[in-house]
Amino acid sequence: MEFSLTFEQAALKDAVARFVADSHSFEVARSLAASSGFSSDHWNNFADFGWLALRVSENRGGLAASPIEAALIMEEFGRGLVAAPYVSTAVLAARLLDGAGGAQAAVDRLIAGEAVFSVAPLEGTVPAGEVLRARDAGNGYVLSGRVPLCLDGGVATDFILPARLDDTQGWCLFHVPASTAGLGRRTYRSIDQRSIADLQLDSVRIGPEGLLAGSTDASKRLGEAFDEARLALAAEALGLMEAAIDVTAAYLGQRRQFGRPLSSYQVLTHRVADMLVRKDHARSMLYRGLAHLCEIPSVREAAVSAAMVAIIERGEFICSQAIQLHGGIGMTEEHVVGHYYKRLRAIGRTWGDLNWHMDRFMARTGARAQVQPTHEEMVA
Amino acid sequence: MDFGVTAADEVFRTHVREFVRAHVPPDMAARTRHDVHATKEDLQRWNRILYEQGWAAPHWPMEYGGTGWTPLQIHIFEEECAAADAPFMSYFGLRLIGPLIYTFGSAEHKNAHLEDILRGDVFWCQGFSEPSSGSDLASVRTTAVRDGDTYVINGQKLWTTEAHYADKMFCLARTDPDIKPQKGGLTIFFIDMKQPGVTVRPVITIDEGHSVNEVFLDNVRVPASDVLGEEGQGWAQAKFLLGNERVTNAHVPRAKRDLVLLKRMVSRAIGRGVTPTTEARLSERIARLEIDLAVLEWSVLRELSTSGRTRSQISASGLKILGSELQQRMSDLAIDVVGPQGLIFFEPHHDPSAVLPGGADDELPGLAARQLFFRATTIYAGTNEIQHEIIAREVF
Repeated sequence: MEFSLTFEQAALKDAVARFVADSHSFEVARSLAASSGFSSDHWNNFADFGWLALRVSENRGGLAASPIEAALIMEEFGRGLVAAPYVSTAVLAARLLDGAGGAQAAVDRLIAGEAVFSVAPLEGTVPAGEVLRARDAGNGYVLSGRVPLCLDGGVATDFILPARLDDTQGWCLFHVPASTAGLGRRTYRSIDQRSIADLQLDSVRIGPEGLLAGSTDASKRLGEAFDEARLALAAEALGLMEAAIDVTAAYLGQRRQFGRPLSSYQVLTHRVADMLVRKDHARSMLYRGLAHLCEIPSVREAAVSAAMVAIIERGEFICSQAIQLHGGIGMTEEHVVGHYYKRLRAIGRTWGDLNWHMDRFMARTGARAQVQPTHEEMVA
Repeated sequence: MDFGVTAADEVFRTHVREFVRAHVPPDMAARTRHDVHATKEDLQRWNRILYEQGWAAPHWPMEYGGTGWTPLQIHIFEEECAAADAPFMSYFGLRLIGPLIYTFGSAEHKNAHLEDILRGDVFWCQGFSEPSSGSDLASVRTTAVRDGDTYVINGQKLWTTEAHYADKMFCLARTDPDIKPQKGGLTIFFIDMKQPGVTVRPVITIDEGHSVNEVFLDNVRVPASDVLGEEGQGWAQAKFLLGNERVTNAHVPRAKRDLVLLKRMVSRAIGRGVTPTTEARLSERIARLEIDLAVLEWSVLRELSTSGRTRSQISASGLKILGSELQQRMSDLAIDVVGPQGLIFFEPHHDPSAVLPGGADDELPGLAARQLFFRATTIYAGTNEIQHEIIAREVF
C-alpha cells in the first residue's frame, strides 16, 4: 500500500496545476461559464497533453493510465473550476468505447479532441418510467424515447445512451452522434453553469456499428464506468474543498473587525480546523474508493457509495462554511467561494445524489446483513 | 499511489489470525465483549501468551523484543486480536514507558525494566494529569526537590488509569521552578507504587466503574538514578509520547470489532420486530457508522504509510477527534437499540450465570457501562477542543 505519488504521477499533477495557474484563473473560469462553458483551445491542449487518452488502452491509441491518474487531473480541475466535459468524455466515453470491440473511429476522434461526449446512466438520475427503446431493424437499430438530464448534453457532439432492445429486459448501449436525424435536444444549464440536455429520439436510425454493448454486458460496463466517473467527480470535489479552505484561511488572516484580525477569534479558527479535518478524511475515502474499483460489483458499489456519501457531506460542510466565514462578500457572484459551493452542490447531484448513494450502500451492507446480489451479478 | 494489499500481507493476516483465534481463552473473550475495563489478571494472562510467542510488543525495535513487522502488519495483527476478542493490552508499559525507556533511558534502565514490561510482570501507570493540570500539561505542580542522591516528590496526580493495578508510576514533576516547563523545568521519575508516601484512592466514574484514580505523593523519596534520561528532559519526553499515540488513539481495530457486534444487535432487534420508521432510523445510523469507520480506517492506513513522523497535525488530531466521536456514537446506538432496557443499572461485578433484571441480554451490562464511560473518549488523550486548537495554531 503506497500513498505517495510516483514520479510520473507527480509530473502529471504538476502539469495540470501549471495549466490551471497559467490559463484558468477565476476570471477565465467565469467568462467561459458565461459563454459556451469551456474553451475549445483548452480542449485541444488537453488532447495535445494526452489527457484525453489516459483511460484508453494502448492498442487503441491511448495511454492506458489508471483511474488514479484521472483523479489527479480532476483534483486540479476542481481547484481551478475547470468546467470542461472531461469526465463525460475522457472517463465515461473512453471506458465505454474502449470496451466495445469496434468504434475505433470514435476513439480516434475522442483522443484527438474532436469529440465531446455525453453519457446517460442506467440509474442514479433517471426518473422512473423514462425508457429509451431500441428496435433491431436488421441492418441497424431504430431508437425512440426520451432521455432526460444528459450532463454536458448541450456541448456534446456524441451521445452514449442505454436503451432496452425490442422490449426485452436487457439493456444495450448505443453510440448516437448528436447530428443524427430524429435526435432533438432541449438544452439548459445547471446551478454551476454547465450544460444539460433532455433528448427526444424519434425513430433515430443508427448503423450496426452504433451498438457498443449488448444485453449481456451493457449494464455491467455502465456500472463500472459510472462508478469510476463518480470517483473522478469526488477527486474534483477534493480540489474544490482544498481551494475553498485556502481562500477562507487567507481571508481570516487579512480581514479585521473590532480592531483584531478574524484569525484571532477561536470560534472561527476552530471552524477552519473542522474543515481541514473533514477534507483530510474525504481524501481517505477517495483513496478507499479507488482501491475498490476492481472488486466484484457489490463490493465496488458499496465502497464507491460510501466514498460519495462521506465526500459529498464533508464537501457540503466545507464549502458552505467557506461562505459563512467570508460573511456577505461570500454571497456574491464576484467572489470565488460561492462558485466552489455551487460546483460542489452540483457534484452531489450528478449520477447519484446522497439518498441514492445511501440507499445503494445500505442495500449492499445493510443491517439485515445479507449482501444483496446486484443486477449485474444476477445477470452473470 | 498504489492501494493494493500485497499477497505477503494477506498471508501474514492468516498466520496471525490462526494463532490469535487458537489462543484467546473463551472466558477471556467473553469478558472482553461484555466488560468495559479489563481485569488485571486477563491483561497479564494475554500479555504472557503473546510474550511466549514473541508478539507482546510488535511495535518495539527488534533489539528490545519487537517483531520487525511493518506498521501495516502491526495494524493487521491488532485487528486480528480485536476480532478474536482479546483484551486491549495494557497501554502504559507497552505503549508509553517502554518506548520512553528505549528512546531516552540509560543502559541500566533498559536492562532493569524493558523485559519486565514485555513479560507483563510489572505494570505501570502514567502520572501526568493533576487536579489543576489537564490539557495544559506544562502547568503541573508536583515538585521534585534534590536532596543528596535522592529527590523528594510532593504533589497529587489525577485520572491515573490503572494506578490500582500498577507496580510503578512514571511521574512528571517540576524540578526547577525558575525554568519554564517547556525549557527544562520538568523531569520524569520512576516511582515504586508500594513505597511510603504513595497513596492511591479510587475515582469512580459515571458508569460506577473503577479504572481511574487519584494518587497522592507525600514526601516520596526517589533515587536520582530513577530519573528518565536527564533532569529537565520531561517536556521533550512528554511530547514524544503524544506523537506515538496518534494512531492508537483512533482505536480502529476495536471499533471494527464493535461494529460487527453492533450490526448483529441491530439485525436481531429488527428481526424481533420494530416499526418501519425505527428500522429505517437504526439502519441509517448503522450505515453512517460503517461509512465513518471506513473513513477512520483509511485515514489510519495513510498515517501508517509514513514511517516515524505524522503526515500532519491535521491528520493526527483528526484521527483523535473522529475516533473518539465514533466510539461514542457506537456505544450510544448499542443502548438505543435495546429501548427501555437502556435505563437499567447493572452492578459492575454481577454473577455471569445470574438471570439479569428486565429480561436483559448478557451483553447489556457492559454496553450500558460503556455508553456512560465513553463520554470520556472526547476528553482524554487531549480533549477534542484542544485538538481543534492544535490544528488551528498550525494554520494561523
